[in-house]
Amino acid sequence: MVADSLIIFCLTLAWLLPLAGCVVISVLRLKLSRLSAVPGWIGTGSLLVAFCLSLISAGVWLMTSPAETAALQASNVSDVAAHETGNLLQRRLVGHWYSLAKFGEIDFPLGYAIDALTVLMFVLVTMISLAVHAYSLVYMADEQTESYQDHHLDHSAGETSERPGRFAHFYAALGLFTFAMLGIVLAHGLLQIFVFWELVGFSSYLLIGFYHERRTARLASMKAFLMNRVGDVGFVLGMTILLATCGTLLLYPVHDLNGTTASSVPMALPEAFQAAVEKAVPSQAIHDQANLIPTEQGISYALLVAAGLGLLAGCVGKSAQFPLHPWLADAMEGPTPVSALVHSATMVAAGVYLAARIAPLLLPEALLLLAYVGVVTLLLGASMAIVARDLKLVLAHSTISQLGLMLLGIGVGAWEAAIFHLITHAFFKSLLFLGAGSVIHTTHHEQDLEKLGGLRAHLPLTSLTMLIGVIALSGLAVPYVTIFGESLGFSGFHSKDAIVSGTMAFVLKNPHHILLLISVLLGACLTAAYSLRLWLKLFARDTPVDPALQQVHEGPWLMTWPLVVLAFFAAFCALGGEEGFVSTLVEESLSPAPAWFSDSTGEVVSIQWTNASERHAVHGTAGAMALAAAWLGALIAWALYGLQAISSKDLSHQLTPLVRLASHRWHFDTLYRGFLVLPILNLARHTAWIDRILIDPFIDGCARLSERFSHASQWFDEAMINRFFDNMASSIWASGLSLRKAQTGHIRQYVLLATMAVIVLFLILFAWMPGDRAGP
Amino acid sequence: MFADPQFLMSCALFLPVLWGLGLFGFPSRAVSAIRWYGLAGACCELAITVQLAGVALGWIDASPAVNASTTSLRNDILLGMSLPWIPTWNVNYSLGVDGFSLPLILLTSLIFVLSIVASWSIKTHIRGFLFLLLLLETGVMGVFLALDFFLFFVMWEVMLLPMYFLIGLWGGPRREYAAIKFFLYTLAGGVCLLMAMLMVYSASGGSFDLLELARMAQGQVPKSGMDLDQGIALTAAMGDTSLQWRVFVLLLIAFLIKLPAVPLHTWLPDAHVEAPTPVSMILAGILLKLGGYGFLRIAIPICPLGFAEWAWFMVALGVFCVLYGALAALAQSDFKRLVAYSSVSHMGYVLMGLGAFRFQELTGAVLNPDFSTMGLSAATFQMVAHGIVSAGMFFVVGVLYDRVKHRDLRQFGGIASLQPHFSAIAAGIFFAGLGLPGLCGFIGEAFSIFSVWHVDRFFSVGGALGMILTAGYILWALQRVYLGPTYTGPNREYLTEINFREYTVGYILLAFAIGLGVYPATALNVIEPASRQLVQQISGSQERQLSLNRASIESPLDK
Repeated sequence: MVADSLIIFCLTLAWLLPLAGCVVISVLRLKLSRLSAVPGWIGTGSLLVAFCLSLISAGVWLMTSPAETAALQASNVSDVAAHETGNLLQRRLVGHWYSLAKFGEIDFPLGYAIDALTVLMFVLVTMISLAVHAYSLVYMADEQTESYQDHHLDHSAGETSERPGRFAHFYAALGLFTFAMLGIVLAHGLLQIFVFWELVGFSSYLLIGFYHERRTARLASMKAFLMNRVGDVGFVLGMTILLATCGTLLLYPVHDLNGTTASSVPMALPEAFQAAVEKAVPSQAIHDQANLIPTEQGISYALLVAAGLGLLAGCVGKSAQFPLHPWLADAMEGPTPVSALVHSATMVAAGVYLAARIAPLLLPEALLLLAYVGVVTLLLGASMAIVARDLKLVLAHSTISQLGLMLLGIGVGAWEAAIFHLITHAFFKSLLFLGAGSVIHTTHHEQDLEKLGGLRAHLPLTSLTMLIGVIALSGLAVPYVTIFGESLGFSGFHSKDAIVSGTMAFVLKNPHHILLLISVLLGACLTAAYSLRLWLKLFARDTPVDPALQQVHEGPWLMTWPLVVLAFFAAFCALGGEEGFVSTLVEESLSPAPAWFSDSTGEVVSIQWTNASERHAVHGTAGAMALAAAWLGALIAWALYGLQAISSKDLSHQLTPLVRLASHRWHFDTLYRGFLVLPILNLARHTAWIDRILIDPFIDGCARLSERFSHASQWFDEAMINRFFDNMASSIWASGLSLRKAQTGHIRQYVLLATMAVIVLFLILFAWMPGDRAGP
Repeated sequence: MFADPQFLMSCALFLPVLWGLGLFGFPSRAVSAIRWYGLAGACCELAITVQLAGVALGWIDASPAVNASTTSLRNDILLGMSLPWIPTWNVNYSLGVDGFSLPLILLTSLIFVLSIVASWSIKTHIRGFLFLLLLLETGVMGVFLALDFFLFFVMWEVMLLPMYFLIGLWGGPRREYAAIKFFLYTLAGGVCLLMAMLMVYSASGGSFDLLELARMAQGQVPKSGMDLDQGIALTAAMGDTSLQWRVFVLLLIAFLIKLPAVPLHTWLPDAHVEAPTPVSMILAGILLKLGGYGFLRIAIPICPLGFAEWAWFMVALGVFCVLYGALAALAQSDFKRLVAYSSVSHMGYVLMGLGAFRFQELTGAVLNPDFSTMGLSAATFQMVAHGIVSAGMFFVVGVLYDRVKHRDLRQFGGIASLQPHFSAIAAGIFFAGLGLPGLCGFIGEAFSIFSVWHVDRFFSVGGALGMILTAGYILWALQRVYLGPTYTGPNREYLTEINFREYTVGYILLAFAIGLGVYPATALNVIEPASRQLVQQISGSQERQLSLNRASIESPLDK
């Protein structure tokens, strides 16, 4: 079909273009002067084209959708039945490019899977990436120089502050990142997702360590990569289990372009996994390890839970969730536009995205654990955000906290709500970061909230757009007022509502998990408080706190336009709430709920799952509660920082231990250092010590021993054997000499001697001869 | 003539040393001419092996004579030839190429070309150096091509001598210690190999033919040269589990030393630290692969029953090597030593993949043969990938050492701002070593981890934990060497951007690292049929043995 081919072509091209940009920039970099802005324009241009291509494919997708569906229904009924959830039909284009490796029946193809969510994510990622590319043309312009002065260097450590600018490097890494992120979205199998997953981590490593002359940046980039690797070990093990139990890592069965099933389609993961779960035997029944191998006896249930947990470990690492969250705050060492794109809007969201994609592979135990991880992170992040003094750190911790909220949504079974929040969050968080970037850029890299303040008059546009972002983030809205049937709230309000109502429906059915609901409401309150605090600190008064900030002003159009565009989407992208455009598309493309959602099959926990209509039923109540919580938080922040009715200093004095704990980020860094990093380094030293002190001396000792032995044998040769033969020779010589005297030449003497000899011989013979020999 | 596999294989074997003899026609002062001549020889060898690969894979039509000679051999040998060499002892000059050896042969000729390019930095006695290098290449080619145990052994020992002199004469300050250590370790392995060879020779009634030995070990009666009863008796002798067990242990020691596996690995760091850059490239890039190849060509096929009992141990040792090597690398402060320990760690994945076998208790068949195929293929692929990556890493270290004359990680830092271009290449190669997907290191690592799951879960976990440690030491090394404020250590003024020759080596290695990472099927499509065949052989021999045992238990009176 033409439309399908067009979509596939456009998206593939849109995916490859940023890579092409990256390669071209890397090659050109050798020839171009460091002063040139060309790399930036190449990068931005490639993203612009990619964005247009994504838009085209989105348009084609929307236009052809109903007809395609009808055709599909007509052509292949059985296939439709397999993919039907309620009345929604999943439309998905899946295909292979080439096979990475093939071992007998086990195939690892690379390919694409395109559904509504893929198209949506393509538009989202290319759009934010385009905004960041354009914005960076100004923000990073100071890198277009032969000698860049880095003022953040620690001079005491002997670091020299001058270095060549790295403008091209920045755009190459940004292009690579966009390519990798789009690769995750486009991939149709877990292995392929893992490939781009790691590439995303790699480009993030490059971008965090962009100012690698700074010690903090070096350490932060390494920390980010290593912490992600810890999660990725889980990912690899999860894939291993799935491969061993299901025999494939493909998430979707492959159809050819006509929508009909190819002649021999191997089972994709969700079905194979469900089959495995049906055959699974309770873990108590397993004593023998042989049973872990898929045979007729079935697979251990615990193993299948572990597979899901492994994949989730990857998600936890990438999305900076408890306990692998500390890297994200340090990742703020990268340039601010990078934080906007990589460390808030897209890369960290990849964990949530994957969790939603693999949701059918998660058994109840795994989902419940995920919900609790999410809720812990939600509160942890919010608590750190509320005490953070650094502008970017507030946003970073807010990101951690919001990602926790999304994972909570997945944990309680409201996947579409989580992805919905992912999309809205991407808009308002990138907006907030770019706004923060404007502030940081114009104040010459001042990030301390205590020193900033009263910038509203100087930065009117930034303050307005950031206000939109803050309202969206805190989920504020005007209750009970609607215009054209729309409630008066920005995007975050709708998506957060969806997650809260999902949680509430879940808690109503499983009352002993009430803690989830309480925490999510507390989280909503804290979110509103810290986000408003941020805005009020920055913009509340008309005159700057610091006289040095009198000169600040808005940046050129390349910096302000991205803010305006993102603010527009942050405000209105969720129009219509859960019946709206975005939410419907998301819902359309997520995998259907697996069989165990209808009943509680969990082995350890027994959980009643909710469905969409139940969630919808509690929507009003949940929304009201969340909104009340948010307003409460907002009022507290306003009282503290807007009216200054209560002194915030007094309050923090009252809560000193808690504040201190939160501002030390709950001492996670210390814990990791003490319990993981140092012991491993110690172990490493001891390992090297084994080689140096044990094995080598042993080998050398063996060598020395054999040397000693050969010396000994030399001595034995010379002192014993040689001497023995020498002595023998000389005694023979001597006896020969003495015998010579007998050689007289007299015949008679010879005859006499011969006769005597014969007699002696006979005597000997008779003396020793046994007597009875004579008998016979 | 260039489509005749017999000619091509013999040519690939003897061209380097014959070419090397030509070096002595040059006056020793004509350094430049000698270098170019040596490089030309290595390039000719590369061309010949590429041609050989073309013929073996059927891209180039072989002459009709080939088919006649090949059909007599086993069908998974792509090309083969056999001529009598020492008829009294039944020693043949038989060469062959299959899916395991072909990628390694190509790797060998490539790495030799690159290392000769890298040996421009060698200033003394270049003629002798190049001759020894080319002699070494003949030895390595011989090991990869040999289908005769005796020939294999001879070539195995031929490699030893040039390597000893290359380290001992052109090495660093402790070169004599390192050279003698290398020599003795390898010689010990050689003795084990010799004993194993003689045991097999006597048990098989006087055969060195690896294919025939493999057939007999699997319980098939040899094809020719003896009457049936004798053949059956010999087959029974070769198929004896205890014999195979003993032979396998000897071969295990021989090949583990070469691989190298902990605790037989301590020759490696010393040899690498003392060896000059080109020799390090060859040592890590190729010579280590001979250990893994020995398993695939000799130990596993001719002792499948012994292997079945040791497979678990091999995986366990592999996991141990991965972790041990990575931990030891983490603690090093000498850049070259760090890279040497990374080789120990990476070759651990090879050992893991090789042993990824689990047998059904009742029938003795290989359980999940696809996973075992994956393991063998991953091991072979990892050898090729590690050949590229480790040669690259040693080259990178060598380039730095040539300039600043030290390798102390604590004194480095900020090289990136002085050598931005080369640092990018180095980072690419090091990330390939880290196992970043999209680069060649990832494939071998990931598939070895996948394949050992059904041997024991903890092996997969251990291998996966190795990924963190690997990332740790590589990132830390990169950070200490390349990142940070501009380098202020010793010999800063010599730290210039690299020249065209060095770019060439760096870019070729990087291109292969990316190419094999993005499209590993190029190598895997060649390797996979061979590994599947080997898995079937092991499965068959194990099944046969178990059915024999069962028969003897069920009907003891018949005997």
